[in-house]
Amino acid sequence: MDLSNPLWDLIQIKGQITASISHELKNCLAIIQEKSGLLEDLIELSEEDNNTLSLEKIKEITTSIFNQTVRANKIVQNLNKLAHTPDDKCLNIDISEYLSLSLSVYKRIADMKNIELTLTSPESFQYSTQPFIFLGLIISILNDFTQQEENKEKKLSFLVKKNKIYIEPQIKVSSKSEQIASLLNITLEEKNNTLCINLT
Amino acid sequence: MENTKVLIVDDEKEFCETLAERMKARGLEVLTATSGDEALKKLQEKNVDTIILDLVMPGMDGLETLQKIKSTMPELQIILLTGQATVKKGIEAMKLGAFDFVEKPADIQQLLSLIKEAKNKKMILVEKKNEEKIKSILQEKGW
Repeated sequence: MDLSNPLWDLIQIKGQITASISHELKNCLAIIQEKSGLLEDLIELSEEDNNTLSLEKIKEITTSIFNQTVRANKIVQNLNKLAHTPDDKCLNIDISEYLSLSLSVYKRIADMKNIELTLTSPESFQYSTQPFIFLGLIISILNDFTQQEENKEKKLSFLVKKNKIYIEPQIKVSSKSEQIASLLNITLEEKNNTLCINLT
Repeated sequence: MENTKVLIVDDEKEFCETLAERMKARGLEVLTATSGDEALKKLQEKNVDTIILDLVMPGMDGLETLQKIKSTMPELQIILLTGQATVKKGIEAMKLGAFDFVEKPADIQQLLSLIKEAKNKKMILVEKKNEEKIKSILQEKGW
């Protein structure tokens, strides 16, 4: 089996992201389960002791459950967007929107390495591309950064300016990322402590 | 379950605190930590019977924390808890000496029965260690 095709790397990236998303969803579910269990415990205790339940405590628990459903809903919305990225062979996308999606789905992986991701996009830039491969390229570059053991920088910033995405600090781009970029005819340029993605 | 001391380690603070509250209501003594480093610090200060440890955490992850704890306190039993229960990770954890591997969200009754089993195992290991110590002293002194 020939697994040298960059599409295989993209499938692996999709697996990596969906695994991370499922882990985050499980965390939300675990909190919801424990909070509802706590509510059940409190009801049982109040029945045994003939005591009234503290309304303040109930409010605290229900607010927490609500917040977790909001958190889970955001995660599922991102998952849905991610799932639809292969739908069109070519689509006119807002680069900032897809960068924001890429950073959101990658956040938990970055958090595990204590890396902070920031996105600055002063202007909107529309670009015709294949969204799944574009998203895969950004994730692959993020993987290049997080996998660099010697990396002491704990911040990675993205800036969208016209048809260029500037990433600071400079990342040693892997051949995987270069191959994915070449599928989209995108060039990657490393200079002056910045990685520049040229969307031509 | 009284006199059972548990340490819950999970980077999801809300999960940690709520599970601790439910366990305390069942008579357990519970400590919490939101990172591997904090867990190691708490273990230097207090003795526990069992640890419930999240596998995926920022910084020092669950497997690294497990290894560090086991290297200094081999009799301490650790139940790994995770949202990412792959067979590969499970095998790795068991090889490193985890008592069990539970997937999130976990049922509290299942956790409590595992804690009970883990505490019993720890007691047997501590007794065995003490017996061996006494034997070696007796042999050394020629009594």
